[in-house]
Amino acid sequence: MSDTSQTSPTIVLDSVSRWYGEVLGINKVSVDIQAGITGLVGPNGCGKSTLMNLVCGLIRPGQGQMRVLGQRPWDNPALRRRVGYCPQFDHFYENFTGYLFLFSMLRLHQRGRQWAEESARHALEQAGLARDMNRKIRSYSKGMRQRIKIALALAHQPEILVLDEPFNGLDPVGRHEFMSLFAEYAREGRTVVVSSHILHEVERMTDRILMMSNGYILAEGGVREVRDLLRRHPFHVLIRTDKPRRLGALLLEEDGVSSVEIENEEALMLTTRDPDNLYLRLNALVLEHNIRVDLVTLSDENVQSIYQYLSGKEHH
Amino acid sequence: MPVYDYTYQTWTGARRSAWVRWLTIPKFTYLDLFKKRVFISLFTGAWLQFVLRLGYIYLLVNTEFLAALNMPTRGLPAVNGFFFKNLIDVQLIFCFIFAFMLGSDLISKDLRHSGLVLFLSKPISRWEYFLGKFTAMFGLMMGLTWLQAILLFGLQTAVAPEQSPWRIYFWSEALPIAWAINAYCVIVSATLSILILASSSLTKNQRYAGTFFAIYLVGSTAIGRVVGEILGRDWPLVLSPFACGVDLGYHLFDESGRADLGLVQCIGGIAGVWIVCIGIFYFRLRNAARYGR
Repeated sequence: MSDTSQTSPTIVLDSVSRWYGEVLGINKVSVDIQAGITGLVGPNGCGKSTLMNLVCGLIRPGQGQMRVLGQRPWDNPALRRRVGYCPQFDHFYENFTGYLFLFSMLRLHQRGRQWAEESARHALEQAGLARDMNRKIRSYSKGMRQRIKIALALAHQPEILVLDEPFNGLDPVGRHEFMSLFAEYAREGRTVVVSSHILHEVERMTDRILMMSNGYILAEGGVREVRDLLRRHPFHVLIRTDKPRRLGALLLEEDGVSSVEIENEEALMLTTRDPDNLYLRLNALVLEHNIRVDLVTLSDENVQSIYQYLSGKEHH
Repeated sequence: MPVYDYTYQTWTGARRSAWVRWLTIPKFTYLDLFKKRVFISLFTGAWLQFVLRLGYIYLLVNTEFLAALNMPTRGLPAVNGFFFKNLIDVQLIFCFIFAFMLGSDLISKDLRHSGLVLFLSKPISRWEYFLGKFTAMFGLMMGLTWLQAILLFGLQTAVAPEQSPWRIYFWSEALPIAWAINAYCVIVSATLSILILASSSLTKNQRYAGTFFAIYLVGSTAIGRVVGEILGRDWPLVLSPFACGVDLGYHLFDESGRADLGLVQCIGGIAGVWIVCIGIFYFRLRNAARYGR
């Protein structure tokens, strides 16, 4: 038995930046990730996938140093035997059966045919695809495709699991099953990094989160600490909708919403200290009053101010 | 504070050689291809010429059968270097079709669906990924050219009568044909494979990749011819991998008189294509796992 506090971090990033031309991926991220489950939370485009790609060695950091299990991850095939990755996007050999797909990918691990066969079957059973393993992937539903991606990440029993939005398209039962499975992996001392843009989802699995926005780590630590920090700071949320005045009036009646500003005939900006509750109520209001919403996002200026607030820079 | 058991165990068993792990890619590319009807139909059609030539070789040595068919037993074209070069040149049309229809999607499909991430998150390098894709295309083309030609060569050697020129001059005339078959098929198949894979790596769209490949092959030949006409020289044809390949075939099969380009020019032109294509792979695959870019 071993305590996490006594272990060295399995993933270390030291001032790591990654730019795509002029587009920021992540900026000066320094973080240590240890065994157990770490949730990576943030809106789409905040840099979660970039961070995961860096950890898996798929892209090279533009600046800074990073180590995964003590090794440089970039273009390091040996390290990838120890890392399992579930990408965000679907890509399969559609004519293959689920079993054949997994088996073929496992053959790249140089561990022999029998190992690949057994591991493929075991992973498919773990992912709840035992009955469908001999069906062609072409016929799989969205949830089944998600399950096979997770099975692919788990199949070679990696020390580090990197899961990019693993719950997309999964039903509540599937989510629960995989959350239990990841928890089991963490109990065995493995490192599991799970990304999601929904804080509640991650909160059910772990107390340890990294909150990202615009390529920065906004907050790091326990979910409660981060929530407390965020509650003290107002969020500016931009909503693009066909009925900004109507939606604005409805949202003003909600707890936590302190102001609403109509930007133009298609958008409104509101201020809240409880964005989680806002997102939940917004869904209900939109359905109840038949309002079309095209975009809900934190305003860019706001993200910068939250970053400064959380990093304490605004006090200097 | 969470407490972990650290009960997992890493793999301590034997591993296959790293030199062959990328062979998984062509293996499963073929498995995927042979599940497509269009591929199976084309592949079957590509063996038709082999069957016809097989029958021809059989007929040539069965004078009684020829007589029974009321066909002349003399004056029929002999099985020689031209017979094999012509076989390979016709098969190259199928190679072109396979490259255009299937090879063009080998890498572009992975780029389109961020599928490269699937491979590159496994323990293989970018160059092994390329090698795997290249081997898939190269193996297919060698099967359509070299395998057929060498099988017919073997058959001809087996059935040729003792007193025939094929047997009498086997070491001096027939065997060099086998070397020419090997060299011609390897060089042309490899060049076509690397060209289509370079095209495929340039875009996420299969049609664009196939069209670029076709336009480059035809266009470079046309430009080479026009510039050659203007300058009154043949060397501008080195721009065309098609012309270089065809003329290389003439040199290898001892028909240098038909070639517009010299042997060194042919090799130089093909080497140039290889260098450019490898450069394209280097730049395209270096950061190809970036999402959506």
